[in-house]
Amino acid sequence: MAAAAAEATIDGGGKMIILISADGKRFEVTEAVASQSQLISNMIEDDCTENGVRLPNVDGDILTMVVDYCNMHAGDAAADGDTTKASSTEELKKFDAELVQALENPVLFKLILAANFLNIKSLLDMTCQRVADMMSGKTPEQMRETFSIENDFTPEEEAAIRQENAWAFDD
Amino acid sequence: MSTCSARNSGDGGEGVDRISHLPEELIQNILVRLPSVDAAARTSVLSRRWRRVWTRLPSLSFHVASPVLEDVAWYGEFDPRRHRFAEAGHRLRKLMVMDMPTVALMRRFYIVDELVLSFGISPGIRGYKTFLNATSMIAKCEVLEVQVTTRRHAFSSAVLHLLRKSVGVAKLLIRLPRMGNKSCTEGCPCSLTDSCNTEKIQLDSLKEVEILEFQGEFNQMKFINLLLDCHAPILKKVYVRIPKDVKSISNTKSKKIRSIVDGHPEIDGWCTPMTAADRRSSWTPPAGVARWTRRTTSAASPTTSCTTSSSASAPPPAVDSVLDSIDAAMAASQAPAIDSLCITVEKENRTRQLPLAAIPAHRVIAWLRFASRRRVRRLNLSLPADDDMAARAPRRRVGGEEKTMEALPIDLLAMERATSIVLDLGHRFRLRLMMIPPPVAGGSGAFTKLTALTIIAAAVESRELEALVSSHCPRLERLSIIGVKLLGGGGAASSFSIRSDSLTSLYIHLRDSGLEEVVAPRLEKLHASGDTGFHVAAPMLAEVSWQDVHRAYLSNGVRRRPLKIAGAARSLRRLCITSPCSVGYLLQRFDAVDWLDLTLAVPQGVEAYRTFMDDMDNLPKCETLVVALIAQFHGFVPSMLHLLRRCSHVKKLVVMIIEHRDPPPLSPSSFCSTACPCRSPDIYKTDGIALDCLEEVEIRPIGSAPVGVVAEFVDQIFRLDAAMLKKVVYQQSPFRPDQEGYEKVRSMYLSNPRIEFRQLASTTQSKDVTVLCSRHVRRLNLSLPADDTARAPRRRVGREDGGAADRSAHLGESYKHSAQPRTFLNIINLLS
Repeated sequence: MAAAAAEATIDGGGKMIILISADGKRFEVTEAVASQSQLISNMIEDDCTENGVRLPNVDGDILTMVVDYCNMHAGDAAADGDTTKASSTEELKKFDAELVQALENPVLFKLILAANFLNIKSLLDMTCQRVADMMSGKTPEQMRETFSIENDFTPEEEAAIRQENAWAFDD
Repeated sequence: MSTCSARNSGDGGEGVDRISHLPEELIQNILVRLPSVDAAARTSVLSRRWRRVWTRLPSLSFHVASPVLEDVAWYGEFDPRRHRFAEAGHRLRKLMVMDMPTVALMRRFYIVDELVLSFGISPGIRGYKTFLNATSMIAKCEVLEVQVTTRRHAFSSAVLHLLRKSVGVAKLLIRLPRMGNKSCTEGCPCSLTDSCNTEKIQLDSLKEVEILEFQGEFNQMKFINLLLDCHAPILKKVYVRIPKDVKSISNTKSKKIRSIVDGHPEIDGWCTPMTAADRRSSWTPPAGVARWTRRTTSAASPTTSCTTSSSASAPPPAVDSVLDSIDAAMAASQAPAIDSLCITVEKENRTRQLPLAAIPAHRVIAWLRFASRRRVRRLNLSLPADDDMAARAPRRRVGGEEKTMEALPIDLLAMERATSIVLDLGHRFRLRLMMIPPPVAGGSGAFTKLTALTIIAAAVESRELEALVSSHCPRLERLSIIGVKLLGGGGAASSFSIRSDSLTSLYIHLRDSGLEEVVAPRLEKLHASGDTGFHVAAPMLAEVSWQDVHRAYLSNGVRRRPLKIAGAARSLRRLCITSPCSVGYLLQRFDAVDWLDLTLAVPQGVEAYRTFMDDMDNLPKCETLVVALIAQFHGFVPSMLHLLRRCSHVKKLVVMIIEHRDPPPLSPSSFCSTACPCRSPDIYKTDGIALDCLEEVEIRPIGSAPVGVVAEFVDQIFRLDAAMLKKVVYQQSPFRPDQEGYEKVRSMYLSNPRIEFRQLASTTQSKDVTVLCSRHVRRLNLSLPADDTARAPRRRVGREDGGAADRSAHLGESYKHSAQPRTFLNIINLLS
């Protein structure tokens, strides 16, 4: 099974797979592109992609981004060490950086959930890193503001937690 | 998860808390990416959801940097993307925001002991709004000094706005401007009644207010009145300072001030003339305080210039409290198994002697215990080097009395799950391994999963070390032992052997000799440096790097063991030898080496030169030859020619010509006796030299190689029979570019169109050199700080090798080259 899947990725993934988003949008992608998702890769191995893969957790607009991402990154796992790749890795980096910088609050978290559900490690790493970057250097107040987190502590409770973890707050 | 995405899919709004609805594993995935554990721990106050998430993190990373930067005075705009304070923390002693308010700067440094806000607010509604935005957050500070020029805007509204945003201010200094009776444009936020509302201002920690430059104006008095209306329960003292040149403030006015203060019976008020010290404006920082200035040409350099405070009066942040925070985080952590524990404490910086080196043993013991109990997978413990211990310990025998400080014992405990352990103990600790239970046959044991082990700058009993690497770690693949001091247990000789069936890569640098034997059937890479050799039995060996740091000239004929390699094939991928004495025994061990790298010093005297010549007769066949020859006492060119006679298969030749300290450098006349072979005319004969395969030559003067030598050597090379030669690269010395030498080289090769000539310009920035090289030759980072040459190598050897060791596993080549300059200097040191 594993060998068959590997073969498909190497020859460019001739077979097409249809992904169907929660709101019914359909995306046709090659096997090589789709199998960057560990979830879909497993499904391909199990031969259950015949009638399209329904992804009830992923909206169409988010799936568009995921498919874009996978299209860009298709082949970098397969054709490693190819010298002609040198310039395209640069492009890839630029693409990733732009994608991640452009992500804003609602989309970013939807993308994290999608990457997690589809099990695309590189995309999950990238998006989680982006959130970590957004958090770092901020005070808790600023974090609440950035992520619209509602403070459900009473002032006394909050003071107690700050006291408990005073080492972290005092820098 | 699915419900969450479904629930949130419709709104798409910004103001929805999505992050808290992520499943915990994803929140953890985010939190482990934060730079340090305390950043993660601060999320505990966000909301109930976040209360304990951080304590379940599987990875804890602590990085204690000694704060170099203490005081920052920033003039003008701050752009966090361009102006990075790469090594600074978030805390400062003093932050001065000058010229214009910049919230980004206060976001960068959000905890400050003393904050000075000194800027003007532009006129107009827009100007005031800019001010409001740029002060939407104010760094947490104890002392806040405000010196705001408002230009028509209401001064009190601006200051009250700042107070509204401030947290934890204990002392407030306000320099009053001349207010006059100007009024702002209609509709400006500063003139709204709300903006002078003091109700929401909570100055809970304010104890002291000082008002400077009080001129007795009506508006100024009004402002003071307003200020005292703020909620400040523990405010005790208010000073109002009157400048000396204000001759007299009329009685009525001073009475009025008094009446203002009297209205608050809990406050002591003083109204005093200003002293000279008070007059000193914040615009000119006092001497010694760092002053950060924006460089106008910052396009070229993303960082800005900086000088740190040399006469800082505030005590450095207590190291204990920093270490306490590590212990507190560990105590709070509830994860049953930790994947990664990383504690790195940076070396103290030189300008401020932070006592970081003095980490008490009980803390380290507790960390190791934590690692063992929480079944850590990857452990990295890097403590700062105690230079005193490292450098002086062996020499401290004064009056027959051993004054060496005793290394403090700490125990390494069993870590069954650990795959990688790095212990860099900064020469202060003695690692005891006796608490480790012996391995159990067929499965679990103390270190059964361990594949990579690095021990740096520790003292270890040799018997224990031998037992650890030879029998406790059945899967050990990469072992680095660097700057380790071996202790002889109970009077036994402090020697040990390594026997491992799994080891593939060994990096060993011992302070005192002691390694007897390495038996490793799967060993492929060996990097060893030390002052004596050992026996190696390794049939798979492919790369060998041997740095002999023995001071051959200083030890009077003490017999030393050479590095002996048994069982290996007669060909290698790489062989690098750095040695101040004869290496013939090692060269004749191999017939062919793809890449041969020799850094050799030819000792003084006829006998030594003969030995050198004999050694070179045994040169293995090689494709790439990198030679750095220090033939201070002999002729350089004849020595090189002799060497070249033996390498007819070389495709690429790299020759480094090294600076010598003494003025009459590479000329044979002054040092060598006439009987020495290096002065015989025969040796200059180039007839026997056939470099049939040579395609590329690279010449690199290091330091300031004398012009004459470079030219002489190039001249000789040019005469050689090298039909295939296509390319000559001449790389300038990074310190003293030698234009003459370059011209000489160029003119020689310009006449030959067949050969491509390239000069690699050197800069003092190592990065540039590397980048330039990478396109052509893929090697060497030449830059060494010029004035560091004398002391750097010896002192830093252990530590630098430590860093290199980690890289060497993956980047064998690049490591080799980055280590090269230091090696040269080592040898130069030996010679001088």
